Amino acid sequence: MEAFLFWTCGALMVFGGVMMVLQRSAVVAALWLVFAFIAAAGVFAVLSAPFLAIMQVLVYAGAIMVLFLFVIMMLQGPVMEGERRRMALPLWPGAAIPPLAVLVLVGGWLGRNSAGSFPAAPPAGFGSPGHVAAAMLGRYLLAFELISIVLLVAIIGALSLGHRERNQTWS
Amino acid sequence: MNGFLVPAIGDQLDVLLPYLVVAGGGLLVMLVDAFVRTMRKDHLSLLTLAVLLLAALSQLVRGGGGGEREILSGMMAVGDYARFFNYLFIGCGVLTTVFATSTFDRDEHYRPEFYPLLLFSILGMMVLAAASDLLTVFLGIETMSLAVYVLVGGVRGDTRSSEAGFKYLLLGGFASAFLLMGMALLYGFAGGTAFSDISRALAQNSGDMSLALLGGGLVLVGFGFKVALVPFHMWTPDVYDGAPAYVTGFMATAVKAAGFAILLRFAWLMQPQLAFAWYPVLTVLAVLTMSVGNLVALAQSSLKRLLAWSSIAHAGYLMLGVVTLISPGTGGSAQMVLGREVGESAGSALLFYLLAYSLMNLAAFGVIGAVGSKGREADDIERYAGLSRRRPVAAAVLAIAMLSLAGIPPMVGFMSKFYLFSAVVRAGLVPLAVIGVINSLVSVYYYLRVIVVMYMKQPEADSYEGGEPVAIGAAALLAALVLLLGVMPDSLHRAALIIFRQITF
Repeated sequence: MEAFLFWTCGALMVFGGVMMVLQRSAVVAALWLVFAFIAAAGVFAVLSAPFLAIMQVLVYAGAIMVLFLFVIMMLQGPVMEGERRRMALPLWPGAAIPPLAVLVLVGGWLGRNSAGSFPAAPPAGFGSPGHVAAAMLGRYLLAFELISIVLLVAIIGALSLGHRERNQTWS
Repeated sequence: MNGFLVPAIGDQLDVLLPYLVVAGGGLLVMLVDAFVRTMRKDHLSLLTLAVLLLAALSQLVRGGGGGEREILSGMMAVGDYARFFNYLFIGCGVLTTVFATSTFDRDEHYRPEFYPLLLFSILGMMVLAAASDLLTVFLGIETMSLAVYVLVGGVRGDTRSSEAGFKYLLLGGFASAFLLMGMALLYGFAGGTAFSDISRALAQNSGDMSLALLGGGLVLVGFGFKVALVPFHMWTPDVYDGAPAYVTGFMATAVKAAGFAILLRFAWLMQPQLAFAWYPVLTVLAVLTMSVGNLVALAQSSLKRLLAWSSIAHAGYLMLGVVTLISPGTGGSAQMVLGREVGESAGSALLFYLLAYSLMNLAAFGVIGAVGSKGREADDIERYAGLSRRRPVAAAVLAIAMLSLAGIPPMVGFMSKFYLFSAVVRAGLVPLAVIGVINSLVSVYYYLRVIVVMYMKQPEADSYEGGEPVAIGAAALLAALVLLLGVMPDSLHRAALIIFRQITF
């Protein structure tokens, strides 16, 4: 059952991602991204990380995507009409790498765990908020602090780059 | 399992101090800018310099014992290797601050966000040089890169800078995706993100080797982008050209050094089992990078673009050191004494080269920034005509930097190439050394062309004649160091050897 749910959610996630890339309208693409995020939450839930799954829905599928949609709608998201669909030839090898990587990942995993058997049940309390907090402020303290710096840098960057447009004369 | 395990970092504070100083300093500079409102931003530059100086001093505080010490539950390994790079980054940061401030003064156009972003990007580099976990590597790279994207693209009203920043951001995001995918595969291979997990999995030969190969390859793409190896170099000329000279100097030295700090560590980590795949790939990359960089540099008419291609070529020379480190002569040779010795000489030559390269490149970019006029950087080589008569000191500094980049004897550029190529020869890779020497002969042409224009042509009406005394003074100091280390390189080289011996997994 777990394996079935895992593969289903995984397939839905990949499907949502592919659909998002293929959209011409930014709004529809963002909605597909929400779909992919929710499927990812399903994967987290199957992997015994309920807290992470809830946060994925609340923060990513909820808050962040609402912001995305706001921005897209405020900027009158571009609809790419008449884009050339054919990829330029030299891009093909590059485009082949991600599917190849997924193939190796899945193949290697299947090769080792025959028939996609799931590992034994995780220890009690795994994936609970307390557990996540302990990991975040314990072993991953450095990562936690660094991410806050990364976000701060992003904010400074966004402010200083966006600030310019107020002084600029549009002509 | 729900009990909180607050990590005991009290006894690690001595090692963490430089990181805390730079991070806290960045926050402080940001807040001072927000609350002290003046048009001139000199106080920010002085504050930034003070923070960097304090960070350098705080590196001296450490609770005894050599070797690398794992801190923060194995996320970082701080030793003399990381300290060496920290000094390098801090030094680059100090000079960049000086050059940037003098440019701001001349243009009467201040970028207050420059200072905190510079400090945060240095923090990212410092973390990167000490990283011993894939997670730390990624976060270090992102902290560094995000800040540099904004530094590149943040010059107001300058479309070329915006274009460069945008290109760098898009391609950098693409490279980060590769890096992350590779890290995910490596995690799948090793069952953990720590370097110790990976080296254990490699040693026990457990796990799926195809995952390790592909993951390592994708990670290499990510690093290759940051240091501008040839198939991943397309962004370099445009970004180096569009960014203001003080940022370009910072990118060509500190960002590149940070990339090599982690590339070197990572190649050393992968070497025991995967040298068979990494060795040929890196050899091809090194040869391509050197040759393409030098050949295209021949045809440049803009000094910044010329130095961009030259920095690609130098990344190729540096890759020769990495190749030597993992070559079959040294490869699988953690046990063989001779092999280890060759590996160490290659590693220490690399460290020496990075330092030397930073000195001469910063001097060159300092002059480029200083001799331009208000709002215009000195970019066109032809307009350097007669600089030796108008600005003799600036011309001399630029000439020394160019001679050193070309690898002409009394300069440090020669010694660094000498150490590097002799390590390559000792590893038995004579053809590679020959290719390297041929390449540096080719490069002499375009470096000397700049000197010819400066010294042998008459100044014309539109020749550059700007002179920012502070920036030129700082660049002259660098040029003096280039000469000094070129004459007496031995103690530094020995220090580099001792530092490299510490990398262990």
